[in-house]
Order: sequence, then C-alpha cells, then structure tokens
Amino acid sequence: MAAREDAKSLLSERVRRLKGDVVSNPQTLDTERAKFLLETYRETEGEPTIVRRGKLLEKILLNKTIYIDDNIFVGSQGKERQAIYPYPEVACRWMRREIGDYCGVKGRLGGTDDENMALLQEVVDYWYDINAYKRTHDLFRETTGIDAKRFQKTRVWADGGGFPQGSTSINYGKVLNKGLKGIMEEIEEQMAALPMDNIEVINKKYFYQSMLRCLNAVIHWAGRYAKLAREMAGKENDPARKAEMEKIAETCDWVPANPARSFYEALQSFWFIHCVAYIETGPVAIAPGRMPQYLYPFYKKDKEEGKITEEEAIELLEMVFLKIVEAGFFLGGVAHSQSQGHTGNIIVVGGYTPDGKDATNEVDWLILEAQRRIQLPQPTVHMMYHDKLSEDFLIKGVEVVRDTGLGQPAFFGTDVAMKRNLFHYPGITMEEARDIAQAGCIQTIIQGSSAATWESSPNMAKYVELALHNGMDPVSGEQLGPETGDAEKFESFEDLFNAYKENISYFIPLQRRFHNILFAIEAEIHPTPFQSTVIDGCIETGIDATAGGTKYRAMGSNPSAAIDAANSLAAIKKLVFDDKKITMNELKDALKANFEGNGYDRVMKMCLDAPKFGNDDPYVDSITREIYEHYEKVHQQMNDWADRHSVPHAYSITNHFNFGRAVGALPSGRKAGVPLTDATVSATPGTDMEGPTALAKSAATAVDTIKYGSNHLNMKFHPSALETRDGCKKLLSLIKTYMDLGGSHVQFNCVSRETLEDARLKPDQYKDLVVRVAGFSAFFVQLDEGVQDEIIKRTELSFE
Amino acid sequence: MEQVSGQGGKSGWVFNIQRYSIQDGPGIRTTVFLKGCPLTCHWCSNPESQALHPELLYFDTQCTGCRKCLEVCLNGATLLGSDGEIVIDRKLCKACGVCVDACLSDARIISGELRAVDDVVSVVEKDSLFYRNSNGGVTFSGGEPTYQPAFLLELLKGCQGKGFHTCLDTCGYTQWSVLEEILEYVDLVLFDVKHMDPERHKKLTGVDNRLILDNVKQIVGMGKKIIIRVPLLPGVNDSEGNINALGNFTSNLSIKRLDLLPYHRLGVKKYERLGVDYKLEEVPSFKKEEVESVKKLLTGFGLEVDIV
Repeated sequence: MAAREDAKSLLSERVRRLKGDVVSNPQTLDTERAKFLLETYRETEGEPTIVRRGKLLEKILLNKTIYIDDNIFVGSQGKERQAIYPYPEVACRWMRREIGDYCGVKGRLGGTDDENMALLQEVVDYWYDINAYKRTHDLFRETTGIDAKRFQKTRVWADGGGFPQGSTSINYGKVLNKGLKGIMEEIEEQMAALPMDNIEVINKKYFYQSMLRCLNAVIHWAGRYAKLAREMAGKENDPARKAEMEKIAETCDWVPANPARSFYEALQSFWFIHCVAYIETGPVAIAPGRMPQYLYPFYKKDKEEGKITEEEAIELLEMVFLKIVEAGFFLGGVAHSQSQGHTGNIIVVGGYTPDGKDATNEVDWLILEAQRRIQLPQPTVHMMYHDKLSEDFLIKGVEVVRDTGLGQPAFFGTDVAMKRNLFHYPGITMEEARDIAQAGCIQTIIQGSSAATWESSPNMAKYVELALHNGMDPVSGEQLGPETGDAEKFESFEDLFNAYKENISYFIPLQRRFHNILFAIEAEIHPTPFQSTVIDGCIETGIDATAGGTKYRAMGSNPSAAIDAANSLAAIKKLVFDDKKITMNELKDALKANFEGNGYDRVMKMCLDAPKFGNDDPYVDSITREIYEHYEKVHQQMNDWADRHSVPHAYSITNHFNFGRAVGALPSGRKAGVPLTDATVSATPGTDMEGPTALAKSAATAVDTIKYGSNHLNMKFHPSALETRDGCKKLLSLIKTYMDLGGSHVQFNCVSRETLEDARLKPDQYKDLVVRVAGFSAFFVQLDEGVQDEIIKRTELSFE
Repeated sequence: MEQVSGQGGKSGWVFNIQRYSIQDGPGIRTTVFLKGCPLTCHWCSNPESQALHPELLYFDTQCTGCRKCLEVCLNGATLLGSDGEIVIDRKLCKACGVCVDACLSDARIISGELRAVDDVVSVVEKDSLFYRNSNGGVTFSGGEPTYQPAFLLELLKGCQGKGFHTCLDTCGYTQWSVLEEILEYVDLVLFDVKHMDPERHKKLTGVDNRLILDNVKQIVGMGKKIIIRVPLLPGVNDSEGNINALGNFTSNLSIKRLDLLPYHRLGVKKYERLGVDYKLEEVPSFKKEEVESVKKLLTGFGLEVDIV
C-alpha cells in the first residue's frame, strides 16, 4: 500500500479536507425538487409536457437553495453537499412501500421531519398511478397478457425501469467554445425556419421554446452563484479567500453563457452543464467523456501565457472530481443492490484524433495523475488503447492501476470500437467513428451525440434451469419459459442447446418490447429539453433526446451470467452426452438436492471438473460464443422504441450477484444462491487455471465485439506483479494481444487479498478504499457482504 | 549418467506447462517443465521434477478426512497413521491416480504425464500472438530437460518449426555430444551455475561441476546466446570467494549477462506433499542488501546482472 499512500500524500491540504468531508459525510435527503415538481405540475395543467418539463427545470434552477463551500467550483444538485432526491415521475410505488424506511434505505440517509415526510407522501400520491414504470407495466400486461413483474421477481431479468436514466454523452466542447448564448442562437434560427403549418411543426416549436427556457434558466442559475459569491466576498476578511470569491463571481457571470476563456472557466462551465443534466434526469451515466480533447485548448493557452502550472491544473481537476463524486440519486432497495450507488461518470483518455493520430495531450497525463492521487470511485478513468499510444503514457496507465488499486484506468480497444461504429451506423463519417467515449459502465458511444439508455439484463443462467425443466422455474415453481420438452428425453446435446436457445428467442423480444414501451412512455412523461440542447442531433431534428432526436443510439440490452450458462451446458454435454458418466435424471436430482446428501458430492465434483470457460478450451468457449451469437441475432430482429437499429451489449452491472440469489444449483457445479459469474467474459472465480493468456484468449473471442457494443473482462493482479518496468511492459503486451484478438474491455484489480480481508475486519480504517466491481468502482466497505466476498474470492493471477 | 529417450522421442514425461511465464527468458513465454533430473540439489523448488516417472502429491491442508482414498487404493499405499491421519507409503504407491479421482477435495494430484510432442507443441502454439507482441517464446525447463534428449530435440524442432523463439533452461550436466545436437534448435540458453568449487558442488547437487563448466565454454565457443543463472543461497554459495570465482569464470568467457535467483522457500511445502525430507531447513531468507552486494561484486566484472 506504500505507493497508494505516497500518491495520496501529494494532495493539497484543501483537497484532502474536501475529500475527507465527502468520504465521511452521509448522503442526505433533499425534498426541494419534490416540492417544485408538485407546484409546477399544478401550475401548468393542460400545457404540453415538453413545456411543463422546461418550466420544472426553470423553477428548480431559479428557486433551489444554493451554497458555496470550500470547493473552487460551484453548482450542486442538492441543497447541501451530498443531498440527493427522488424522481417519482419515473417510478415511485416502491417509495410508498418503503416509506418507513424512506430516510432511508438501510439507514443510508439521515432522518427527516414530518413536514418533509408529508411532502414526500403527497408527491408519491400524485405519481402513484401515472408514473412511467407503472404505466409501462399496465401497457405491457394489456398488450401481451403477461405480468412483467413475474420476471423481475423471479429474476429472469432485471429491467431498466424504476430509476432515472440519463445515459448519454454531452457535447461539452460545443458549450465551452460557443457558450449557451451561441447555442440559443442556433435554436432560434431553427425555430425561425419552421413553416408552422402542421402538428409536427407546432410540437417542434414548443420543443424549441422549452429548450430556450431551460438555457435561460441555466444562465440565470449561474448568475445566482455570482451574486452569492459577491455577497460572501463582501463579508470575507481573508484577502485570499475574498479574491477567490470575486473570481468565482466573475466566472459565473461569464460562463456557461459565453465561451470559456481559461482552463478554470472551462471546468466551471463543464461542471454547470454536467450538473444541470444531473438535475434534469438524475446523475445516471451522463459521461464527461473525452475531457482531454475538449479541455486541452484552454490548458494550452493558459500554459503558454504562464497563467497555470501543472500542479494547479491537477488540483482543479481534483476539485471537479470531488463535485462529481458528491452526486447521487435516491433509489429503492432492489435498484440500489443492482447499481451499488454507481453514477457512471466516465472520463476517457487516449484514443484518436479525428484524422486517426494519437490524441494524447498533456491533459490526458494530468487526469491520470489527478486520479492517481485522489483515488475516488467516481469519476472513473478509462483508457482508449491503440498501438499509437506512447510507451511512457501506457506505462503511466499501468502505474495508476498499480498504485491506486482502483482498477483504473480500464483499457478499451479503440480499433474494435471504430469498426463497431462503422458497422452499426451506415453513413457515419470516419472522424465521428474515431471519436469514442463511454457511457454507463463500459458501453462505447460517440462523444457528444449518443444516447445510451439501458434496456435491461436477462439472466442467462436462469434459462438453463428453464431448459432443464420444460420452462418451469425450479426455484419459484412457476411456469415462466416456453415448453421446450422433457430434458430427460433429449437424445443429444443439440436438443438441449436448442431448448436453451428457444428461451433466448422467447424472452429477448418480450424484454425489448417491455423497454420499447417503457422508453416511449418515459419520452412522453419526462422529455429532456435541457439535455437536448447539448446533445448533437436534437436541435437539428427538433426531436427530444428521449424521443430519438440524438444523432446516435448506442444501447440495447445486455445479457448477464452467460458464462454460468456456458459452463453448465458444457458440463451436461461432457457428462451426460459425450462421456455418459451420469444420466440427465441423476444430474437433475443432484441439482434439486443442491448437491447435498445421497453421494451427490461426487456429482458436484464431476460438474466442477468439466471444462470451464476462461481456459482457452474450445470445448466450452465455442458454446459461449454460440450463446452470444444467438442472442445477438434475436436481439437485432427488433428495432428500438424510436424505430432505430440498436446495439446489443455484453457487460454486467452487479446483476450476477442479484440474479445469483434466485438461481438454484447449476450443472457447472455452482451451488444454489451463490453469486453468478461477474462481467460477461470473466471466468467463474477459481476456474481459470491456465493463467492470464488463456483467460484473455477465451475472453477476447467469446463475444463478437464488432456486433456487440462491449465485452467485459475483470482480471485481478497482485500489485507485486507490476513492481518492475519489465512487469509493467509484460502486462502491456498482454493488453495489446487481448485487443488484437478482438477484446474490447479489460480492467485489472490490483488490491491484495490481505488488504481486502483486513478492510472487512476494520472498515473504519478503510473508508476510502476503492475497488472495482463489475465495470465500475465503489467504496469497498460500503458494498454488500456478498459482493465483498466475491471480490476477495476472485482468482489472483500471479506472474510466478 | 542416466538419460532417457522414452518412446523414440515422440513422447515424454512432462510435469507442467505454464503459460504466461515471465521469468524464464524474454517476453511472455510458455514454459514446458520436463520431468527427471540427474542432480539432487538440496534447495530444489520443484522436488516433484527430480524423478522421471509420475508421483503422487498429497495436500494435507485440502484433506477433509473423508477416507475415500483409503477405500480405493489398489496397492495398500494409503494408510491410517497412529493419530488417524492419512499416511502414504511411498514405496507401495504406484501413482496410478485412482485415489485422485476418488478425492472430492482436490487433496491429491499426480505429477507427471506422458505427453506426445504434437500435443505439447499445440499447447505452446496457443499463445503465439503473445510471443509476437512481447518478443517472447517457449522455454524448456525441468527437472532437467536434456534428461529426455530425444523428446526435447523433437519438441525444439517442432517449436522452432512454428517460428517460435526457443529457450533452454538447463543445469548443464549433459554429455557435450548430446547437448550440441540439442543446441542447434535453441535460440537462448539459460545455464545454471550452482557452485564454482567441484567438491562443494558435488556435496550440494550430487554431481561434479567439471562437465557443467566445460559445457559453458563449449556453448560460448559456438557463439550461442547464453545467460548464466545462479540460484543464490545464503551461506551456501554466496561467499566472496565463490562469487569472485564466478565473476572471473564468466567474464573470461566474455559472457555478458548473469541472473541471480535469490533463494526462496516457496517449494518447501512440496517436499511434504511428496513425502520427502527437506535438507535445507536451516537456511534463512536473503535480505535485499545482501543480494545487492553480491550483484555489485559481479557488476565489477563487467557483467550485466539481473535479480530475478
């Protein structure tokens, strides 16, 4: 841990203090938004939704409590630091259910008084029957005759409703260079050109008006900070602090309305826009993206004029990171266990310039260094890997992995992502295809012009159980899947595999249909006129981001636990059909008994000894590939809710954990209730016996990463493997080869088992220890015990 | 000097193939460990590599005491000790593996497997792209790989034929005529020198070092790339006299590189698992400064010294 501490010791006293506050202060509940929501909806009855949403944002920005603390950057989502609020229009029935627990979920939030409680009751009552989630369930039931809650409850899938989704990429560069005033001119021009002769055009006019209202409100909101800073400056005795307040006032008067003039102004302008996006839809997966690209011109200018040093720039970045980590949103228990508080703030370093050169500049280095020092779970830093990156930059990346234990930067294949863009978006320019960022967990998107709402995760392990029981779920006893025949009568492995695939063919269209309804209803209930002003495509088309106005769309659904399915199918193929060591009947009896008693421990050993994914063994790797291929084929037979082509993904949130609780014993040898395999191409913990090259090969080839928007591989290394430069370089060769073979994502967790075990015993001493879970980072001591167990258990790949 | 050429070189005894091996030569490598060794070094960290034929390894920490192994043993080699613990009579054990299949807790494995050349080469081939991207390749180690010369020769031919960089990790105790033929297919030799004094060498390893040192000279004479590797043992071969002799010997031959492998006790547990006594119990672990001072001494001879 020495390097970890060394890096932290470079933090300034101010940043250290701010970080201490964030780490030790609990989140609190903020009811202001709920109040404004009720007021706006009562005041605007009968007006078009798009107008009401603009007025809602305006009311919030003009009236919410604002504060300025010790951070040089101002602007916040809540009325105080780490205050979070609910978005009841998305979903709120759970709030009534959990209202006693409301403040909050497992005691995460501080208490609240009766008045606030009554307000929450009122807002829940208002939205109880008309929130998007409820209406989606109703409509789905009406059109399919199926109650989708069954699938959520039995964990056949985890749907993408029930919590606010931003999931997008904003064109920050445009804001920094044109200012909001410049964007408003663009909107006005579009509006002026409308012929005003049909209903579609009239809707566009309302949309543009709402956009302008939002941008005016944002400028006004920034002005409120300028005013507050001036008042504080007037009362301030410390001349340094007084000067800082005056600087804040001057800055907030200027940005985001106008183009930024310095690195500091650029960051403040970025933060205002980012923060308003949070306020509008909740801070979920709205990614800062390629910060080095849009910040560099401002840094370069300041540097050349002698106005900034590297250390000053690093401190500014750290303070923006601290603003980012403060954000949150209020979730129910289930949604919280799925997301573990993740907000998906991904900063991307590396990658290409529009003309295909190495894009790395000094800001890339500063961001890596800031992250090495501050070691927060959000934002996360991802590196777009390609062969043109310089050796020293790559080694710096590996050093950050080693020194922080953050699993950051995660590494992404730029070339495969570029091919992906060319494949999925006919007509895309080469320049756009190279402009790759990420949103959410590890989904690649095109910077500034993509929407990436998440369409749910199906539980691919559950389908094994259904295929073995003629569609009946052995855990709940319910008939959930299609009747695919008695497994005992299957004559070949193909019969079984077909039954398995039939489940994919049955559930995926259902699931996509559910989400098409969901997103269509969400577009109707809560369009996003503000975000639409800053994502490419919406101004040009006059269509809101939620209704399909963004230039690109990047997300479909993403299967979880396919590795458990592949391992299970491979075990059946081997034991029942190829080697005929046991009959299907015997296997099913052993599964039913959870491998307990009756000599079933012997069956379990056979199952565990069967081929496992992650060992570069075609026997099971080919099954894995076939599962993902069939999934992709079925997925792409449908368009999304705005009738667009979408991209299937292969990453897992923490659903493998959540799903694991509802899956019985599996033929892979896994016992009932145990977490399923993390990520989408990771090996089941303890089963990758052939080392990192074998795992990298299995992982790189499991998913067609051109057709899919991601793959997801977690590897754990003991930091000692990276102590020497030679060790770092060998890791880089491993990364390069993985990418050459088609890998899209890999991340390395470099914390020792001893550290993690110690952290569990003494959580107080490890409050700031961050680990990487399923595509994102989290404070280790805040994770569920089961997730902690699993992180500790994940095989350490040694270089011995 | 016993040497074995089982199955006319088409197959041989292998006890491990390790992929992503990064300390047995340049880049990312696959190391093929061949079984059998003419030496019996006291500190050997792979004691299961010394005998040519398969052996049973028993992991007492994994054992749950279910006694299934007792029931299935065909040779009466697995017995109950006086305290009810599992005892293996090594004289009776034929390493047939029946108990391995019966064991539900992975407490037993057989070390050593007869594998065909094509089979081994196909495993090596799996990581070819990793070799290309890291300037890596394949390393043959052991045991002593030249102990199965015909098998080794075929493996080397097979791997070089695929275009892979080949590395031989050897103790050097092999007749020159045999070694010379093998070296034709070797790109880099990792050559172990354990002690410069013939008597001391014999005491520690069971054999004289003259043939070994002669072979070093021959290899250098034929212009083959060589790295001298010295397993460094406190109080055994780290005296100034021995290090100076080593420095003189290597620098006189214009050898450029020497690797120091400081002694570790990672292999100690393996002796227990094999039911063999460990003869080097009293040796302490190295301090970093001690290794550094040996390194400094050797660098004085113009050698490039790495601590592995």
